[in-house]
Amino acid sequence: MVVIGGGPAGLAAAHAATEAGARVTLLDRHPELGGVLPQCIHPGFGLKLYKEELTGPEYAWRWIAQLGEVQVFVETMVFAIEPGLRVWASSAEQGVLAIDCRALVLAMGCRERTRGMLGIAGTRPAGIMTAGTAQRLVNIYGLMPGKRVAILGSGDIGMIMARRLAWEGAQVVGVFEIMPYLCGLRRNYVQCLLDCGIPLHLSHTVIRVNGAKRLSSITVAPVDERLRPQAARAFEVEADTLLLSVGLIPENELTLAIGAELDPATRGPVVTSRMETSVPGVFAAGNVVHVHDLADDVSIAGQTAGQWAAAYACGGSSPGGKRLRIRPDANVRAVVPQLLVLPDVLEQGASLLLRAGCHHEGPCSLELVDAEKEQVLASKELPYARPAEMIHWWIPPRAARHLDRASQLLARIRVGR
Amino acid sequence: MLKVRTAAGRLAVEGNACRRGLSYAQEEVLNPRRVLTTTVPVVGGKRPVVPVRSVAPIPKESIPQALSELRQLFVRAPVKVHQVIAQSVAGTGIAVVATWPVLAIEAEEEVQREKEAG
Ligand SMILES: Cc1cc2nc3c(=O)[nH]c(=O)nc-3n(C[C@H](O)[C@H](O)[C@H](O)COP(=O)(O)OP(=O)(O)OC[C@H]3O[C@@H](n4cnc5c(N)ncnc54)[C@H](O)[C@@H]3O)c2cc1C
Repeated sequence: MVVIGGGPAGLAAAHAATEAGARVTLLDRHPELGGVLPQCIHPGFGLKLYKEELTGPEYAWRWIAQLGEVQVFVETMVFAIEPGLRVWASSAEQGVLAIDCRALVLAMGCRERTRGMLGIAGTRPAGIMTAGTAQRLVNIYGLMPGKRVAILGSGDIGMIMARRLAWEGAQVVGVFEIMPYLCGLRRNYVQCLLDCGIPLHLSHTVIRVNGAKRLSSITVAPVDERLRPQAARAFEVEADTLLLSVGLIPENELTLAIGAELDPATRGPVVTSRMETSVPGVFAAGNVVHVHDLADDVSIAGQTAGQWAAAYACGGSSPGGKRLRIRPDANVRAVVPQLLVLPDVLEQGASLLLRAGCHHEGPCSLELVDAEKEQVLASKELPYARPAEMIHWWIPPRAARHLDRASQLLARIRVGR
Repeated sequence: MLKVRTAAGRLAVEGNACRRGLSYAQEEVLNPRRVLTTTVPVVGGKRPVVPVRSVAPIPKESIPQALSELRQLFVRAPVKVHQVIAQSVAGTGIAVVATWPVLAIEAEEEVQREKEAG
């Protein structure tokens, strides 16, 4: 079996698969395992799995230390996968590698959206980078990206970097968020922005960057309720550095290359409750499937993928059974897994992760509806719906029995009673 | 959402989902503490800095002092996970430890690096 990517998803998949009796090779292009975690030096990891507050590096280290009998190649980049499952990779030390495998786990993580994807007008000065790049510069290379920093987007990485740079002596002039609400976790707003006195400007965006060689200022404008910038009310903010924390996208090159079906909502592959993609024998977990809030959830998904991939590698094919599709409907942006393997779900229950498509501070109800009969088959009360916080829904086997009647399900959030 | 009301020197907490929420709310109002994380320079390592943390949360107002103390330090590679970097920061009695290992670079590599650095 091959696992591509040595972040929390890949580490958990490799570990679980080895425990289940598979022979596993783990490949990562970085010199160190851990994925993005070694650069996430702040605490907030492991509360769910270990009931203690670990930093990113410590959390990754636990998984690396218990990895077991896994063959690991670091500084090894996978560049192609052939059907029949031959994985092509290259490294300075090994040259070009061709590895044949029976099952594969995709765990390549995600990528940050860049300036190019936002189309911000202006010059092309140095000093504009993603928040994750700044995180890598400061925490791994010990380099400061600038002295006067503005942050576009209220994602978690941006807020965490706001505090990190403030602590290192930079002046952080503000976080600008186009939406009327916070996009990251509330905890980070309190502990990173409020603690350091960094202002958050909701319903504001950067419409222009200025400066010849180095960024000298940004032009900020408030937006109306349809998110259109109000140029007449624009103002200039002096800054030599602009960090972008405006969203993550699953790393999809290899997923697309093997022909796995993508979900336009998550922008990652469609997966079953076994974390299997539409290509038999190819499994996926972590941020490559959809962007998670917590590394703990990534590890849990990795374990599921690893166990089922090992079963596939040892047994040859996935046992059959009815697969039930779930599609996002009113007020739901995305659901993972997109397909429930019914025999499993009836026996073990189902664990769904959902993103709300609406922001509602107040009770609402999450429902699974039979798509044809418009009948509610399962429901859960929520205290609120926030796009920034992933919704976890555990459906026990007893409740899952009702799902059997449907041929397709819709996931909705009903606001108000 | 957590709601905390103070009346006659006592706290009433509402809206917590678990016991952790209750103690968090009390701490956050009476004595806000944070786990401090930063990096410390490494000499002779495969990486120039090592990430560190305070082993327990320290009072919020001690953070600037702790940061300026840590800024004076450096460690020599190799560094092990949970190796103590400072016994106590900002007079709190709370230690600061490394959170990631840093291997030492080989002697010839070090010479090479110094040459490159001029
Ligand atoms: C910049 C950044 C910062 C983040 N900060 C936080 C944070 O502070 N707190 C938090 O809870 N979450 C954070 N996240 C979310 C975090 O990524 C997830 O919680 C978790 O680390 C995802 O795990 P993963 O294993 O899916 O992916 P990753 O941890 O990203 O690991 C993927 C690994 O796959 C490797 N890889 C990709 N393609 C190939 C290839 N073709 N060949 C070989 N190897 C490959 C990559 O090098 C990487 O090591 C951050 C995400 C990003 C992108």
